[in-house]
This record gives sequence, C-alpha cells and structure tokens, in this order.
Amino acid sequence: MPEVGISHWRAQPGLAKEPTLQACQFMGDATRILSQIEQGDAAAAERLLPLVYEELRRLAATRLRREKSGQTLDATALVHEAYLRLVDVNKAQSFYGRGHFFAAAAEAMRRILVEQARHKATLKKGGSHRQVDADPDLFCDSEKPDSIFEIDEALAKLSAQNAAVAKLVELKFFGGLTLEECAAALEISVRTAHRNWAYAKAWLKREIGKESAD
Amino acid sequence: MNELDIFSAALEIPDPDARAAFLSAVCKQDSQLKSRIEELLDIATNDDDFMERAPKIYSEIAEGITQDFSLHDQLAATEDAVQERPGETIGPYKLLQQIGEGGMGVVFMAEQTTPVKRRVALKIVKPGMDSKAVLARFEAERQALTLMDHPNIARALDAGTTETGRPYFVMELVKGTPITKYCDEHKLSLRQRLELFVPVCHAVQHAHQKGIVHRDLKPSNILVAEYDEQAVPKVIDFGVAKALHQPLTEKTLFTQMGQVIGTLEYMSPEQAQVNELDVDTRSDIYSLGVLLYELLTGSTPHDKERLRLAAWEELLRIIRHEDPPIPSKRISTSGTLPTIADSRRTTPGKIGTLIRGDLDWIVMKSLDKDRNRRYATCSGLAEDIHRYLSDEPVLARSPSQAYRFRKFIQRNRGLSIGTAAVAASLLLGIGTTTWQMLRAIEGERSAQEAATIANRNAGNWQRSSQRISEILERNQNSQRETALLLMLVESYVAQQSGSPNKETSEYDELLNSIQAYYDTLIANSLDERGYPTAHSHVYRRQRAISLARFGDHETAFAEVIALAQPETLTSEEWLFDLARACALCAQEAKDKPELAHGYALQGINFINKLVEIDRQERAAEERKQELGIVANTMTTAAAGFLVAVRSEPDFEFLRSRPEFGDVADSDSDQEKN
Repeated sequence: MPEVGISHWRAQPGLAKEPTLQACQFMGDATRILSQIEQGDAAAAERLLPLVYEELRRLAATRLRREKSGQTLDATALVHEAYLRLVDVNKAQSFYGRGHFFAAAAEAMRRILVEQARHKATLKKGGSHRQVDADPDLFCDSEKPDSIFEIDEALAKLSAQNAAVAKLVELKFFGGLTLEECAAALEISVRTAHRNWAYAKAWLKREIGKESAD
Repeated sequence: MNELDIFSAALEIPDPDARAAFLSAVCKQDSQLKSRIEELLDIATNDDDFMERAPKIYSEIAEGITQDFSLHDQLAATEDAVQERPGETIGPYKLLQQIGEGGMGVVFMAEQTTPVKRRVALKIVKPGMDSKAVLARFEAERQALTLMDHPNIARALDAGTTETGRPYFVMELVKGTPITKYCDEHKLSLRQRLELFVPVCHAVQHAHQKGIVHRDLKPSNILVAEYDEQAVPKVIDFGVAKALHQPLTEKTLFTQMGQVIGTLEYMSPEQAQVNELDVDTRSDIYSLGVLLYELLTGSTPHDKERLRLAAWEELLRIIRHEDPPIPSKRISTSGTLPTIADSRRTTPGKIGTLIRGDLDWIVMKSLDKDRNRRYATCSGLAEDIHRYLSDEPVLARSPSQAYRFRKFIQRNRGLSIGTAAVAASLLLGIGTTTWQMLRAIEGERSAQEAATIANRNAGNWQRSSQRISEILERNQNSQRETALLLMLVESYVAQQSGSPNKETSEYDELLNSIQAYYDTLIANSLDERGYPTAHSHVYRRQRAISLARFGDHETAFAEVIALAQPETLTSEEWLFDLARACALCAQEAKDKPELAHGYALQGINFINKLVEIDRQERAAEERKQELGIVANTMTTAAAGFLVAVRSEPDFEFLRSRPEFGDVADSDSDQEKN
C-alpha cells in the first residue's frame, strides 16, 4: 500500500470512493503515530489531530449527505467510528494510546461542531446560501448549535483558569468518553474525574448564564 | 484550597447548615469566593441534563462540513446548469412541454418534424455523465431495441447529443400514470391489479426474448394509459437504464440522489453489488416481484423510509441479505390498513386472507435472494398469476419450509433426521446435544403427531400450539418427547411474536406454561441425589433460549453464565451448544446492543474454550457466526467489540461484513487500480 500523506488527500477530495481508501491508508498512519506517542515522541501527537479531524469531517459529511434534512448525527458515535476506521485495532494499544486518540478526536470534534455552529449563525443572518428552515424542536437544550458555540467560548475561559478540567470536559462532552475512560486517559483517579466534571458543568453553566444575561 | 477543591468538598456535605458552616470556615474573609462557590453549588445541586448528552451534527447545515468536498460543488453546478426549455429545438425535435423530471434527467413532450411528423417523449440526461459512453452503450443495443414490437412496450426511437453535449433519448410518447398510482386512483381490486400486471410480465418477457434486460423496472417506468376505455400498461425506458448504467458506488448514489434511491427499492440483490458483475433477466423478475408486492400491499418489501435513511453499507446489506416480511404479514401490520383495503375494494378483515397463501408464495418466489430460485422467466410468473386467478394450484411453493429444510440439511450434513425433530430444529436452531437426544425419539408417536399437526396448521400458531399443548397435557410422554413438543409450541409462538395476538391472555398463559414445563423437565432430569445431569443441562440451555426469546434476558443471561460451570466445560459438543445458545440469545436481544454484546462476549468465551481443546476448524466457523451477529446488531458497539477481540481473523471477517464493507471494497479497488 503506497504511503499517502495529508497533502495528497487534500488535493483530491470529493470522490466518495477515495476517502475510504484514505481511511485504509490512514489506518496505518494513525496506528504508527499512536505507537510513536506511546514511545514518548511528543511531536507525534500534533500529527494525529489533522488526520482525525479530516476523517471525522469526512464521516460526518458522507453520513449527513444521505440523511434527509433534519437528521442528526451523534458526535460520540462518529468519534468511535473514526477510531475503528483509523486505528489498526489488531495492533494492541495500551489504554494510554487509546486515550491519545480520543483526546485528538475530542478536540477535532469540538472544532467541527463549533465550525458548524458558526456556519449556522451565518445562515441565520441570511448570509450565504439559501435560508434554511430548521425545525426549532430539533434543537433542544445543550444540543443546539448556538449553545455549542457558547459552551466552546466558556470552555476557553475555563481552560485559561484550569486547563486540566477543561480537557476533561473536551474528552467527556466532545469525545464521548465515559468518566472512567476520561480518568484513564488523563491519568487521574475516577473520583477526581467525577468531582472535576461536576465542577466544570456548574462552572460552564454559570458562565453561559452570565453571557446571556449580559 | 482553591475554588475547585472547596466546591468538591462542599458538594459532598449533604446537610445545608453544615455546608454553609464549612464554606464560612474555609472562605474566611473572601466573600466573593464564597458567593461564587455558593452559586456553583446551587447550579450543581439543581443538576439537569446539561452537557450530559452527546452533541449532534445537523444535516441542515451540512454545507458547513461538506463545503470542502468538491462533490458538493459538483452538485451545485448541476443545479445551476443551463436547462433546455420548451420551444427549443434538439436535432429534428422541437420541445413542446416538460412532462417529467427525475434524478437522471428531464423528459419533454416533443414534436418530430422529419422524416415523419409525430409527437415523442424526449429524455435529456442531466450533466455529469460521459455522453460518448452512454451513446455507445445505446448504439450497441439499438438493433435489438428496434426489433421490439409489443403493445405494452413504448418503442425506443432514437438517441443523440444536445449542443451542450448531453445525451438524450427519444421514445414513443405514452400519456399515462405510473401503474401503482393508477391502481390506487381507480381503486382497482386485487384481481384487477393482477390482470393489469400480467401484460407487464408479457412485455418484459418479449424484451427478454430479444436479449434486452430493462434493469430499472419501477412504477414510474410502467405507465398505464387508457385506450378506448381500456387500461393498457406500457413499459418505458427500455435501453435507457443500460445505456446510462454506471457502476454502483457511493458517488453515483449521491450525485443522482433521487433517481438511484428511488430505484433501490426495486433493485435486485445482485444489482446491489458494488462490483455488479452480471445482471440478467432474473433481475427484472425481482423488480417485477417488488412491483407486485407494492400493488398488493401498498408498500415496497423494504421500507422506503428506512432505505432512504440507511447508511450506504447498511442499505446494500438490507437489499442483499434481509428477507422482507411476506405480503400478507406486511399488510396485517400496516398502519394504513383501512386505506389500503379501501383502495383495493375490500375490507381490512378480508385483504389479508386474500393475499395469504398463493399470492404470498408467488411474490416471495419472485423476490428470492437467490435468483436461481426465482421464476425462470417472466412468463412463468405470469402463468402462476394466471393459475391463481383461475383457482388452479400455483407452482410457487412456500419459500420458507422447503428452503429452510434444505438449508438445514446443508448445515448438518451427515445427520439422519426425523421429521418431527427437523420441524423444531429448523425454527429453533437447536444444539447438537439436544439434537442427539431428539434423534432417538423420531419414531415416537406423540412427536410425530405434533409434527403432523404443526405442518397441517402451518401459519396458525394458536391452533397448532393449543393442539400440541393438549398432547403435552396427556402427560404420558417421555421427557425427550416433552422437550421436543415444547420446542414446537415455542416455535409457533415465536414465529408470531410480532402479531397483535401477543397481548392476549392465551399468549401469556402459553408462555407461562412453557416455562413451567421446562422447570418440570429440569427437575425430573436431576439424578437421585438431586445433582444436575447432562439432560438437565440440555433442558436448561433450551430454557435459557426460550427466556431470551420471550424477552426475559435477565434470567436468560444468568442461566447462560450458570451453565458455564467448569465441570460442564469439557465437552466440545456442549461448548459448541452453549456458544450457539449465546448466539441465539444475542439475536433475540438485537434491539438491545449492550445485551447482545454481553451474550456475544460470553459466546466467544465458550469458543475460546473450544479452541483450547483443539477444535479449531469448527470453532472458527462458530466464531464467525458470533461475530456476524455482533456486526449485524450493533455497528457502533462493534467498535468496542473489535477492540476487545484484537485478532486478525476476526477483523478480516468483520471487514467482509457489509457493515464494514467499504473497507473491504476499497481494498479491491486498490487491486484494480
């Protein structure tokens, strides 16, 4: 199987067959990067993010294309599917290694969702493209693109104050990990993960409340 | 202590006063910190769902994600493409008015001026196809197309390219309504529908004799026009589908969304292959079967909505592997039964009876996944319908009994089988040990009697199961007989598990008595000291499957675990049976991925044990079944499963599953390039 880098993949997007091919080739890449990270190559982690990001976007795009308007995709399911597609599961990974994957995936998913929320905001203002009539009932509570945007902004503030807690939120909320998995990935105790999650949720909710009150 | 620590510590103090005291003590003079934490605690104790659910991606704004993909741009370009308009001229044809639009193109009524003056239908293909290839394929068939001469076929007249380089097709103009719509609008009875369907079969047969396969038979290609107040169906678009044929890929699905998806419901399993190798006349027979299904029941075999929403791999899997409900069953579960019955001039009560039996068989024979078992020709199909209409016995037989029987024999080659036991095992997938016990009783009277009853009353579980229960009640059966009878009863109940009868008290009573019989069987088969025996294990295994079948997974799962005691895990046969029990239970739990996953993992434990005692060949086979169930029931959960399994053969196998088919497909593409 020839090595194909990201640049090549970016140069020829579009043909639906290709991403699948790419996924296969990336499978090798992602697995290699994970093992490099495990062997202590800190720079390797940076190479993982774009790879996961592209795969998640591709997965989301192909899925959404087939769905009728009004359909939704569960971010968590996408992340797990990306894992299956990108990582060669035959090569044993330590949980630490998996944790790196999910950290990258969570960050990628956060970026995608925020980007989507921005796009939504543009559409609402009647900016580009055609006006989209979305059923307001589809967006409930924390699922609303608007609130993704708010959560992200609040999360940035939390990160400035306590980066570790913010990372936990990213893994849990955007990456879809359970608190136990988050704890393993962040190398903290499960108890701490629970405590931090409770704190983060309250903190973020307060922050978002403040914003909208202003 | 920082804010987080104080918050966490305070949150663990349930008593409000104690909590307030704690805060005052810790925050001392810092009233700002205190009020901040109080606010946070307030929010945390009024916890709602905030951020507990995974965020969603919405398709309304998929553009935000897809904009990088040139495919999207391609689509946009298609939409903005220059459209031909009435009044324009294409070759010798003057466009009069648009009469239709599909995913593939636009259809105009046009006027031909030379060499003869007549009105024709002209279909202009949307951009994005290789005109040369399309025309070359049409030319290759043109000779055969001109040979077709049938009153129920719209003649293909011409093909060419527009100035903008788009291919177009010219055919006889048919001013008609799609057949399904026509039947509903005119409230045709089932008989009238069948009478209208027969000439369609003859038309397709005519084309087949000229060597032409339609490939895209669907209601919108079978128009009904009235000539002299007589309804005449006409098949249009012969030659078009083949000329426009593109290999089926995710891309073609997407770029021609409406078109291809519309066709998928009528597409035969062999056409739903990514490398669609050979499509022959039998694919058309399948499509006719779908059409017949729809004419009878008002819906296509595979739910349109479901196909539309299914992911690509899932979609192909459904078409290739999923058996649709038989028409009479589909109609009995339809939510719009009164409307469907009314538009067929019958009543909701009668329509099921009219379809059940012969018509079920005719439709299901046409829809067989294996094209060798479909009608060999369209005439065959037409003749069987004719037989039905004239009350003669039809040639199509029950696809289930004969077919399942054959399948079972294939799976269990080398075993000699008694009729009664077969009937039970076919439906229950009983294990080898159970099996060996049952073989011993094939001559026994009650079992045979039960099987006869079961066969005679096939389809009417209540009658069968009541009669069998009566034999059970006589209480003079051997244990093994009782076990077999139980399975028979169960199978009939299980077969009907989707039916409304489920709510009745008889049903509940039956379930309870089945469990009671199992309990008695198990109790009676313990040894003198009350210890379990091989027989009691077999009955327990069977009971576990029965429990799972009727939804009591908690007990069933506990039973499966309980059966896995070290002393029982030395027999290969038994391990094999337990693994299969897990597989069956997992199947029953397919709506509950976590449970199914649990069963499957337990099953894999047994198989691993089997591997340990060196029965690799068989274990590998069984393991595949397990994995198949996992893959079938929960694609997402399978991710976790794969991680747990981490072995190359398993992964290879899952890759070969349609759910993960695109991975495998891309491999084969790789080879091609």
